[in-house]
Amino acid sequence: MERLLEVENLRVSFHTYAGDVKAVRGISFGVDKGETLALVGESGCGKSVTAKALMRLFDRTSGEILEGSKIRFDGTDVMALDKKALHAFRGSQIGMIFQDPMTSLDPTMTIGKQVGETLVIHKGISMRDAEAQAVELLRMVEIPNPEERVKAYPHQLSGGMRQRVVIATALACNPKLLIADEPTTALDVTIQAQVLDLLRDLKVRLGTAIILVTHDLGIVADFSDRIQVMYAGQIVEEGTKNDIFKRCLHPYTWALLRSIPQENATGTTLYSLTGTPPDLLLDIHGCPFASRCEYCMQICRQKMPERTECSGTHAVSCWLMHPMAPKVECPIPRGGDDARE
Amino acid sequence: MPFFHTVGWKQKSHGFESVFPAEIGKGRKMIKYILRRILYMLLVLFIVTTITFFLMHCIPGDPLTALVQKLPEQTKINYYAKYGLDKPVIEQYLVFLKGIFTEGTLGESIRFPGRQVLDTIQRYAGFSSEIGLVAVLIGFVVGIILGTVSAIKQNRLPDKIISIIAILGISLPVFLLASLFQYLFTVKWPLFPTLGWGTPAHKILPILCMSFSPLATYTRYMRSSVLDVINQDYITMAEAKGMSFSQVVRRHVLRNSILPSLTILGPNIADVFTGSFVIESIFAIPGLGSYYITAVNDRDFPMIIGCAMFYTGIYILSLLLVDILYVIIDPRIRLTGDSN
Amino acid sequence: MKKVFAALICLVMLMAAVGAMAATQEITVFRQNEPTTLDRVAATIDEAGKFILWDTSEPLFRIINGATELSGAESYTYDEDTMTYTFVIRDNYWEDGVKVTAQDYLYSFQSMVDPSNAYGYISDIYCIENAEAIYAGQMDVAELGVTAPDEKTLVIKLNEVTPAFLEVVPLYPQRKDFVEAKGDAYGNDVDNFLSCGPFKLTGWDHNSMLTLVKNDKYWDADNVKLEKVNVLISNDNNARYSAMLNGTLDYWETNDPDYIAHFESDAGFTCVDLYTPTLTFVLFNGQDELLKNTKIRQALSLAINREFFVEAMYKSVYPPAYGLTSSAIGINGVALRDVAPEPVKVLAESVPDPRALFIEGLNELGMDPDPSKVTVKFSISSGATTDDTIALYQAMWGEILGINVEADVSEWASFWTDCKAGDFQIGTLAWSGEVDISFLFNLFLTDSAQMPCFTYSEEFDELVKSANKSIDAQERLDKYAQAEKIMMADLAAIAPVCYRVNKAVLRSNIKGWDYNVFSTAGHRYVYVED
Repeated sequence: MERLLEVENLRVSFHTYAGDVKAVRGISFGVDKGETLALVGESGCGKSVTAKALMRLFDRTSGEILEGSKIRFDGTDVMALDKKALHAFRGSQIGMIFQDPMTSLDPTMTIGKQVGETLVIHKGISMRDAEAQAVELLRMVEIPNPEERVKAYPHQLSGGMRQRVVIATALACNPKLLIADEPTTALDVTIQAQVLDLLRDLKVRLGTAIILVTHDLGIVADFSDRIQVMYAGQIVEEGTKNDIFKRCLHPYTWALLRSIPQENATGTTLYSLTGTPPDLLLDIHGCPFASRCEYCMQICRQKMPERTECSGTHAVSCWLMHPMAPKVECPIPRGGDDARE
Repeated sequence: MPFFHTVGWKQKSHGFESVFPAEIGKGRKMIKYILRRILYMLLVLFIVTTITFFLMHCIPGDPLTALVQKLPEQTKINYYAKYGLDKPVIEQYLVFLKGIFTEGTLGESIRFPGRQVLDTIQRYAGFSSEIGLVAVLIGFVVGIILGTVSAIKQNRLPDKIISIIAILGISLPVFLLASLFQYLFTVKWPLFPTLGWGTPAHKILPILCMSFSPLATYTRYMRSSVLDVINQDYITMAEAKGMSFSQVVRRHVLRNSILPSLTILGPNIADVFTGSFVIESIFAIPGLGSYYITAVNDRDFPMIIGCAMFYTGIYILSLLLVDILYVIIDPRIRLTGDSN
Repeated sequence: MKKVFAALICLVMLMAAVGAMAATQEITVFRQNEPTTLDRVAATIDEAGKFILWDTSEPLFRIINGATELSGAESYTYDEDTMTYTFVIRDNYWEDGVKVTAQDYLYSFQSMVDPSNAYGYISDIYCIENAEAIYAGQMDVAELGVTAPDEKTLVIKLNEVTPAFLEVVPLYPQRKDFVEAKGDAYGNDVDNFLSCGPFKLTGWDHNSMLTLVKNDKYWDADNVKLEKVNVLISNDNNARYSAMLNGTLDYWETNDPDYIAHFESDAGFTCVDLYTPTLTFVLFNGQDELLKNTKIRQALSLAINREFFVEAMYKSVYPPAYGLTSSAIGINGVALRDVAPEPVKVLAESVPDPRALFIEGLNELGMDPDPSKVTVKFSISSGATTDDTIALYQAMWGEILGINVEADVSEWASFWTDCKAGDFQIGTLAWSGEVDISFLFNLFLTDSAQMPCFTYSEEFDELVKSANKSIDAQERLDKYAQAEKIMMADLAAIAPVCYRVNKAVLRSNIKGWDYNVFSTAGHRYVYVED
């Protein structure tokens, strides 16, 4: 069965005065119908860029999706779409939720109009009808009193409410894939949980596939089916949530998991990964993580590690997987994770 | 537009929500606001007039100084008596106020005997505003468009061309432009009448010259404003919804980026009434600008006060207009006194 | 029948030919400012207003091509013993058909002396019996020395000999019933004015244009060839230049050498020199600590390199001035300059070294004889040429005398107020003489003190006052010449710098123009040649 989204060798560069910033350096992945994929990594690893590239949101800016990148969505070659087809594609096939709900909505337009806009564009109905449907959409995202709120302006709503509106807008045309770019980063913890619950419900109800982009491993465990860890524009490890949380093999993934504060670890210093990510202006020979890796070997600095498939679902790009590499113990205690499942 | 339609608007216990709908509330609020502003305006007008009156009498020189070369003492005495200039300033001020409140007159011009200040202002302000307002309108509309285009095509050829026009418009003094246009379009290529007033053809060159400066200003303001807005998240979100870029510009960008330009629209409108003096001189247009400048140079006290009052009034009226437009365009801005 | 027909055709063709040949008798001229009013006796009547009145009103006398001619008066007599003029009024009509009478002229005089009118040029009328007292409110207007015994006779009695009476006194009529009906508004618009001159006012766009059309009711209408005169109000030089080039304007005056060069080389235009009575000069405050010394003033006057100045400032379009008047001023066509050489030139010949003279003056004052320790304050009113002027004086006086010059710039009204109050050291300005030669000299009389030079001379006063009272033109000119020498050279109360000479530029098919600067002919004799 063909996957809903198939990405092959995606490369995205930004043309700046200082040179080309190669934000995404040839990643390949896929998403199945109804599946939730998490893209995890620290700031600057290229995960947001990947998400935006799927809808070609860089066309107007200094970003460029380089030749050789392939994006196939539901049988359509996204890279080959002309402007008109691209506009029809965006919003109706794929929807997107953005990070900061305080700035994602137009402050001078009522939320009803903003939600209804998507419907007007793709379904061709009048704004009045669209606003009526918007009421139902607002109800779907659990906004109380939607009939009145539909006439409200964004500044009259709290952060959590606004994010719900953004979700409603993204799901208005029932897209097959929803891209959520750090949807909870700007919200406080209780609202975070609410919004995630909402997303989970909607996912089940509407059968939407979701790509969740985040730096927070904490929310990923409950929410996603598969996880991809990105570093410096490349995917370093991918697998199901069990693969990643219980059987992770890449030193970067280990570092990420070790960084999560443990409940019972009082009195010890918090672990943090030393060093900084590499400069994306430069070409990187070898493993991008080499400079920060505890287990770095000579070959790590010279050659890019090959992608090793450990199981049907689990794959790692690390020289430690090579038969000739020394055996390294995973430094993370494996116990206590059962509660996370 | 819901001025006070907010989160948590409680329904009255007997279901009043439709008895006091948002629209009537908005209208009432707006009227109260306007009335209050008008009251403040009158106060400001009064204060400015008073200060101008006393300042005016502090400048050395009087209406006679500029006029005749040989002036026997007796003429001065008779003249001052005729126009009440021999009285102490405070008494002159009270006479002036009395004239306004009891007879509704601003007095008679001293330099131009027999011409009533109020009539003169009414007649000639109309001519000045014909040119000035149209010029500002053209400058505003075209400036907004050019500024938007310039920002969208940032650093490409259209942007560079428009930026050059904008810089020229701001740096070239208006008299230079006017003389140049006058020579080019009435002598070299005789398309328009050189001087004078009367037909629509007489108005075209002056309006063109006057519109350059506002056009340049609004272009630059709009350009920087649009550049700001275009990089906002909600624009990306709008694109993600599937709108074409021109749709995004029309529906989201314009409204959000027009506010800074609106801010200066008010003072700009007031400016064209004073700044038109140069254009009026060059094109021999019977406007208020030249009356005002002549009045100041010749110490024509009633005319100076009359014009000063007029310009002040226009200025604060335009500020009120801009404030109202603000509220209409940006729902985040509230009228003062809103209970939210 | 055929013959009649043929004759008719010939006639029609002839008329058509004549019509085609005859040029449109319409010209457009300009004024710098909007006339303040057309009420001749208003307090603030200005030059522009007077200009329009030459065309729309009929004074008893006009100055035409330099000579004083009868106009509204048919004839007159003057009785030397009683100092009385008797004028016979010509048959003339107002534009509404009513006859112009002597009572109209009388009414004009009565308005002029009315204190509540505050007429500005009243000192011109002080020569008429009781005028001054009436104007000061001390006598009733019925006592005025002007009477109209009947419709065609006007009698004016003077209280002192006034040689320039016919040139100076405004002998204009006003219709009493019309003026009183209009009240304050008289003279401020087309509907509020009545014409009785060669032209009538038919249009007035304030600050833009006035339109004058031939007045058929004028007594000399047959000799008025122009049908229409448009007066544009334009005070921008470039605009006027453009208007001349594209035919909108037919007459221009300029002193810019570049413009002049352009028009002189163009056969479509005639260029004529206009000698104005304006003198640009430097004013000394004779009460000042430094300038009360005559040698100081003379040295300062001699140290002005006038040729250098006019070349630098005006490209020599203006000639240098060494006396009080140019050839523009004189008596009955004889200029003062015809009778006497310019005094400062004569002085310069006897004083080769102004610096030495200056040091002598410093010594006399008991001041440090080193000129470089002297700083003078040079006052000037703000204008386009202010900075250049200051630089030139600093250069000239700095180089030749070695002194320092500090500039003090202020707006005209403030500048003049300070000068009149004696609150200055050295100032520079321009002043215009009038058709009456005595005007310029009266400025310096000790008791008139019109010109704040604060330098007085009894001898000067005597000469001028006796010249003012004499009727003998030659005697007067001689006395004025002597007085000029005293004021300009012996006392150096002021230092003349240059005379203003403008160029009149006229479309070459316009004829009959009166180039005399004091002309009051209006456009009566102007016509457009075919």
